[in-house]
Amino acid sequence: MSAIPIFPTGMVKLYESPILFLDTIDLAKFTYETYKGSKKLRTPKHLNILLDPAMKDIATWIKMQAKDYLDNELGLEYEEFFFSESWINISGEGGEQGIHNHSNSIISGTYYLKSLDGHPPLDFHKVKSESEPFISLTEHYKQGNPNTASKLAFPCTQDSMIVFQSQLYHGHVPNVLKEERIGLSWNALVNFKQDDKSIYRVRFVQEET
Amino acid sequence: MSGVPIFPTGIVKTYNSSTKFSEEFEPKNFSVKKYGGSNKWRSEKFNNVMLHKSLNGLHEWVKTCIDDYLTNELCMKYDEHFISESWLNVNLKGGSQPVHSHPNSIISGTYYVKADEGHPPLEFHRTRPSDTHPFISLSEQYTGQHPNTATSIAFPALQDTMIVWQSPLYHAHGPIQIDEQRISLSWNALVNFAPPSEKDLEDFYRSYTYRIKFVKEDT
Repeated sequence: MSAIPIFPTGMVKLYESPILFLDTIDLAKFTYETYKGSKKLRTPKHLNILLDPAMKDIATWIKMQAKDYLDNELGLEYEEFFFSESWINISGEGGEQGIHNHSNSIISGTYYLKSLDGHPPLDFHKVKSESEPFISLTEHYKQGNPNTASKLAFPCTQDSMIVFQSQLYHGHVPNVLKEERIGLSWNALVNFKQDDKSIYRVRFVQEET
Repeated sequence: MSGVPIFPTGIVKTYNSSTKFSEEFEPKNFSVKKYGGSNKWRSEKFNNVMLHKSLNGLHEWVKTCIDDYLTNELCMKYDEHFISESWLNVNLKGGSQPVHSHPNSIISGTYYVKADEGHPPLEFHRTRPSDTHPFISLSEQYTGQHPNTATSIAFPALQDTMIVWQSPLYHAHGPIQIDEQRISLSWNALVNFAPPSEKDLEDFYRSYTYRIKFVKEDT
C-alpha cells in the first residue's frame, strides 16, 4: 500500500497510567444506578465524579493527558478546558454498551480502572448517512484493512485511557466474563481563543457538580 | 503526534507513467465543446474517449493501475472492472472546476495529458454529514495545518501522472492562472464484484448482499 488515506473521521489515542488509580479510589463512596434496558451500573447522571476531592489525583492525571490530546493531536488554540461530565460504568457479566456518541462535548475519554484479558475492547464505528441509493463495497473486501474498515477495536487495558473526539461513534459488546469491567468516562468542553471576530461566538460554563 | 487517525474518508494514489502518453495524444481525434456556465471545454457526454483506438496504450496502462488500486489499496474481491465513462477536459486561462463528486461510479481517475508548473492542483475536500443539530466548529481553532484535521488536501497535476481515488470523494481545482492550457483525461470505472465465497455464505451478514451487476456500454 502506498496510497494516501485522507480526511480521517477522528483521532484515537491511548495513554498508559504510571500508577494504579484503582488503589487510590474508594468505589463504594459513590452510588450506582441501573438504567432501563441496561445491565450495567452507572453513577448518577449529572454527578461529575472527577470533581470529587477524593478523585483529585486521577483527575489531575486525566487533565494532563487531555491537554496533550488537545495540544499535540488536535492542535487546538484554546483558553481553557474542563470536565463537563464524568461517570463510572461497572459492567458485570452481560453488560454492554450500544453504539453511541457523546453530544454536547468536544473530547471524551475512558480510563479503565479494572479490566481483564477477555473483557470486550472499545469498538469505534464508521458512520454512514445515505440520502440516495448507494453501492455497497463492504462485503467485497478480501481482507481487513484499517483504511476501509467500518469498525476498529481498541483494547480496554487496565490502567490505560482511550481519548477520542466526542462525535466518534463507539460501543462495546457484552462482557462474557464473570469479573466486572470498570471504566471511568468523561466529557470535556473547551473554551477557544476568540481572536477571530468572524467566528460565531461560543463559550461554555463550567458547572460545579 | 502518536494518536491513531481512524476511518479515512478515502484513499488517493498517484501513478507515474513510464510511457509519455502525452506524446501519443492527438487532440484532433476528439471534438470538445464548451458548456454553459463553464470556462472549460469538454468532450461530449456519453463519448467514452478511452475506447478510442488511438488511446489503446493509455487504456491498457490505466487498467493495470485500476487493478493495483482495487487489489492493493482497497483489497477488493472482483471479477472485472471497466471504464464506464471517460472524457477530456481542456482548460484555458480562467477555467476551473467546482467541488463535485462522481455518482454511479466506484473509482475515478485523472491522467494529465498536458500540464505545466503553475497549473492548479487537484484539491480533495472533506465533507461533513449534513448538520441536523447545532454543531461546534473547530475549523478556526487549529494552531496549524495538519492532514488529520485539514478540510482540503491538494495533489499536484503533473504531466504524465494519474491521480486515482474513490468516486464519492469531493474534489475540485481552482482557476487556471497561466496562459498555457491544461488537458486532462478523466474516467469513472465500475466494478463487478466476485460472488460470495463458500465461507462468506456461512456468515449471515456477509451472505446477505443484495445483488448488483453492471453492464459495460459499447461507447
